[in-house]
Amino acid sequence: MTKSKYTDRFWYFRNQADEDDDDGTGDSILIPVASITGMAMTAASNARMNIYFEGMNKGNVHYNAAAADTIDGLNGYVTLNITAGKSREVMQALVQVINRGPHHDGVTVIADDSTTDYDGTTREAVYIHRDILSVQHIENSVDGTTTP
Amino acid sequence: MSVNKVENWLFFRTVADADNDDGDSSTLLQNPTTICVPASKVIHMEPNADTALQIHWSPVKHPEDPNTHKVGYNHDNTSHDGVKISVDQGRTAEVMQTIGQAINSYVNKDGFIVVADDMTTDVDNNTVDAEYLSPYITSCGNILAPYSSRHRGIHEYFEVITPMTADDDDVAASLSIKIPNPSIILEASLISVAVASNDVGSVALEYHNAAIADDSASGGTELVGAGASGSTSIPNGDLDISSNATFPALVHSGSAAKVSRTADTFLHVTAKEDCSSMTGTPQVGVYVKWFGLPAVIV
Repeated sequence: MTKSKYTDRFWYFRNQADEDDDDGTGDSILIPVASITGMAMTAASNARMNIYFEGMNKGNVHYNAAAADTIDGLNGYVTLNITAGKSREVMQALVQVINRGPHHDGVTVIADDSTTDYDGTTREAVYIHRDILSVQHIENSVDGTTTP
Repeated sequence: MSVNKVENWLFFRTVADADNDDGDSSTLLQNPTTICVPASKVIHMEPNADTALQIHWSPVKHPEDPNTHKVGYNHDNTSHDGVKISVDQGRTAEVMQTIGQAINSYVNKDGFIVVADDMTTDVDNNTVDAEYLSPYITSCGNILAPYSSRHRGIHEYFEVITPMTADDDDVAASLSIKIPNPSIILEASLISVAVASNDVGSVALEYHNAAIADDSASGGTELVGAGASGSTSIPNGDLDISSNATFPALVHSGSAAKVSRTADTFLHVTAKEDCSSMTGTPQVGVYVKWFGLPAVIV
């Protein structure tokens, strides 16, 4: 069984259209690929999937009812809006990204909704695959303060 | 950058129509219709019948917590992450061998291994063939991704809080969790993390049925401090967080009897002298250990 993981690869997600609003927890996130625990379709839509990654709440097992941990668990996750019915295509594309050769700097933008730079200029949002449409939600799994 | 190996991922889909690939097939929201997991997360495979095979993997939605697993109990010990796939009668061994070989195979494409995909109608209503890794796989069964381990058992919690100015016997700070009903509180302790900048500050730990706002009169029962029933704390006193206190100071519940709780439990650090003139930013570490359900954020 293959055991090794990419300890030095990271995926980037952002769900803010304006960089000026990219200013807090849940606006964007960079996660190591080695921390990804799986991908699954999520409730009530054939156009929405979650990418789960190991969360930070490992020491104390507790639940945040308000954040619906009872549904989505204690790990972190990023919810992507995808083209309806294209779960397999998106998952396959993401696995390809994981396994492709080391021809980049280790950071891959999976989905970046930002279309307005900090200086007000506009640009295209970035998605690694055509069936990824936007970032619905970023849950970092941290309950409480995130300021070190 | 050092990238040494690629990794195979396993894909499963348990619905025949892409229109129904909508995330969950159960009311508990723990049965995704499609899942893709790293092969390295697979724990084991085993027959569930002579026509069914179970593949188990590490949790997708919640952390692996070896300490909790040692002392706790999953509410439903059949609720492990994984999938059940249907196979031809008597072919579980062949299917396990095929999946094992696929996991160990060199990633000659992209590492994406379709183990079982029941889809026969795509999103455009075209009829497509279902796809299975082995000719002996007949369908993909239930996929299970429990939302939490829901452990019953021993739990510990530690949090550093900042007591505010408060009148004597008022709540000075509260933990950000509550312990769900029912529980048995086994022990607790306080430790000073930072002290006040003047010679004012003394606190104890109380539990109560409800949250109490800071600087409001406490209504709980003292568990750690000079007022604990039977003078059981060690040392038998309140936690001194004033500027002239021994640092760090600590107090433990000592020989206090275990507390059987039949209501949600809120924990408050309570002023044990008039702390309204306290200055600086004292901090107190609060530890509590109980038997029951995991804590809940409040």
